Amino acid sequence: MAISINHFSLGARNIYESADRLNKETGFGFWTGEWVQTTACHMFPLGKDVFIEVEGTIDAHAYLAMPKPNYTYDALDVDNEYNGDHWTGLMLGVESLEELEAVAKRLGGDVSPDDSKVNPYSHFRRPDGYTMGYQSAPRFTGPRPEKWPRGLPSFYYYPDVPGRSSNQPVIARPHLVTATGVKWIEFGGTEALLSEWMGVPKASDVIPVKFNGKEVGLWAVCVGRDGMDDVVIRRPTAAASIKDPSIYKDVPRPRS
Amino acid sequence: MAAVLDHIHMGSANVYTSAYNLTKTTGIGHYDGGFMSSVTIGHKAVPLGGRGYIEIESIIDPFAVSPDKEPWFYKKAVKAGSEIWSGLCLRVDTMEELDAIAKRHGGTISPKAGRRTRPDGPGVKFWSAPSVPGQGSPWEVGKPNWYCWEDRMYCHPSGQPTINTPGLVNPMGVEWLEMGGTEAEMADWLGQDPKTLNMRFNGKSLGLYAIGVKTDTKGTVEIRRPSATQDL
Amino acid sequence: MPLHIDHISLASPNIFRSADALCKETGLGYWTGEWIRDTAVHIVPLGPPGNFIEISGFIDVHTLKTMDEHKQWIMDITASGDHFNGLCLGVDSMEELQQFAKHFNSTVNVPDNPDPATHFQRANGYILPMASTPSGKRSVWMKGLPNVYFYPDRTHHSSGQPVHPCEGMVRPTGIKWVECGGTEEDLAKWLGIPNPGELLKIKFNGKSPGVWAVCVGAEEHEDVVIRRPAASEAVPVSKYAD
Repeated sequence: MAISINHFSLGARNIYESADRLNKETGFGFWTGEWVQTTACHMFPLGKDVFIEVEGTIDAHAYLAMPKPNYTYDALDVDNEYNGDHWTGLMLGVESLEELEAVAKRLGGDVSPDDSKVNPYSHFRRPDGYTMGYQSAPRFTGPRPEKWPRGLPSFYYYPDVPGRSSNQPVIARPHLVTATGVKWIEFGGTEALLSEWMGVPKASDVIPVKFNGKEVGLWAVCVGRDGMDDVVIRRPTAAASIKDPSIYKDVPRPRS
Repeated sequence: MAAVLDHIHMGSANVYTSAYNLTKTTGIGHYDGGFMSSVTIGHKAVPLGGRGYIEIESIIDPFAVSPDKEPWFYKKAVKAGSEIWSGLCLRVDTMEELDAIAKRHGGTISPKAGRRTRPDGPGVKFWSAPSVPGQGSPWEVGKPNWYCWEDRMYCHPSGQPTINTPGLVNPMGVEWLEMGGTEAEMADWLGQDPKTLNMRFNGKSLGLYAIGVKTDTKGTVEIRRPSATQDL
Repeated sequence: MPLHIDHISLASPNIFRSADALCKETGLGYWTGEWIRDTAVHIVPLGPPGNFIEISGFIDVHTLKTMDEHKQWIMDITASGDHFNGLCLGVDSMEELQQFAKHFNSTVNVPDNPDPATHFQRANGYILPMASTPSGKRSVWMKGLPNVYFYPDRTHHSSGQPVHPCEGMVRPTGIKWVECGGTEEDLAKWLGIPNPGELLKIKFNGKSPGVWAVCVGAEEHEDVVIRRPAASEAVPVSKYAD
């Protein structure tokens, strides 16, 4: 099975302010307009089919109606030097639906349905009407097994490579820098845990990951830059700002 | 009110390579301006900040134009082996001002509005002067002309977004224009003090020779090309 | 141009959903990426001589931790969906704007604060300079009244920026008319000018103050009428009487 890094999710209180700041920090460009239900993203292509989605809730009424406590809100609500930005996700990619189904089966869940054509508003969509068709796993229909803490990466399959968020043109602005791909990532927990989750003998043989033993989740991403030194995008992982994880029900992303 | 700089015309043999190379060498971005009403001339726009821009034009359909109908700036660019500065265009706010300028030069406002079709953005429409029967464009003899955009400044070419390119600078306006001829000659043509347009004069044949564009990180970028009347 | 309509604000609980719905309803395209503090706007250009609808809403739900009267108003008027909440007029010079400020017995909000966070910013880094009147703690929009704007640099006006492509797209050719609540007499008194209806192409429906509909021409297409309730339908202006 070929597993790769697919994308990263950077949770932000304000995706506009966060994206502007990330651009100034790294020189990387981004594009705007993608959303699903109550969430919107500004996308930062990083080269070689990988991207960062700077993601936030953009519907205040919907937020008020959401069940509380809300894990992501509570994590982002903790102040830090990045206006509350936290890494909220590492997402891995596989190259076929069969591989995705094998992951789901191994981990005791299932695969999200491919219903982007019949339920377009349950999927990320863009102003031009393009609807992202992808599937992910594992989707736990019951409680999340305790041995797998939040923060472990989901697996994704994107059939349409040219349409990927990583392959869309960014908005022009001065002093943009070309990203040349992810060099390494820093992850919490242990290699043993991530390797077992990924179903591989050694995770760092499959993706360029090093471990810091802290809360499970993404902590840093190092990206190459054309004609410049690499940049390390460091943010706390969401779990690091959650006082008591036991109070949060593992509610999957709402879909209509 | 005194006229201000609107845009500078760059005649080219190949609008694509000219725009690409200009952005590469200066860091100033461009976008696809579409085509002129004749459909044989392609256009790229280079916003310069300060409500000014460069427009680069060349023939893009050579089979539609017989050699005797090729625009003069295209022929000159081919002969020069490079782009040329083929025109300097000033701007006034009202059609009344444009009409007064036209009359001062013994002509009228252009009988028809100029139009350009953009591939993606708003359509472009403008009026120019002076139009004098039997005379060609002032640009061809190295003299500026004037434009009025009426109430269409909201979609002025200088304010449109460029394509994304790594390493773009932020252009902050034209700091100076190097012109042929003398200040006295230009003052007479313009009907205003050339210093108000930051013009400097090299005493050579008429036309534009160089511009200096202020940028945020590269200082003032000089863009030099043969003028419209320069012997090649 | 004499005094004219510059833009109309459409308050939305979810600007992405509202823009998508408006585009499907009308074929009018929009562009994204402009924001100020906790609010972002999707811009719907309406054509010459440079008008637009700004679909605006909160994009930072953490702002709800520090509520104030204005934020509460936005929440109240968007609880039941999109509402037109601002009619914004335009003038072509700072002198004209100052005349309106004097008439309003107010001052001009000048765009001279060097902090970018106090201005609308775009995804391309552009910071929008924009002056308006009247100034003050409480927006006149809350009483269903228009304010007035001047843009020192019209070349970057929001109405002229290119939109995302969308299915069934039409090219707008300009505002044909706007339907407002209240009476022409009230508007004339507020602005200090006679016959604002004729000047601004506004017709009056006698309902509560504010914008109730906008009619936009479209190339090779029938006129588009965008009808949404005025903010005063959700929250009466009497709540903000002086």
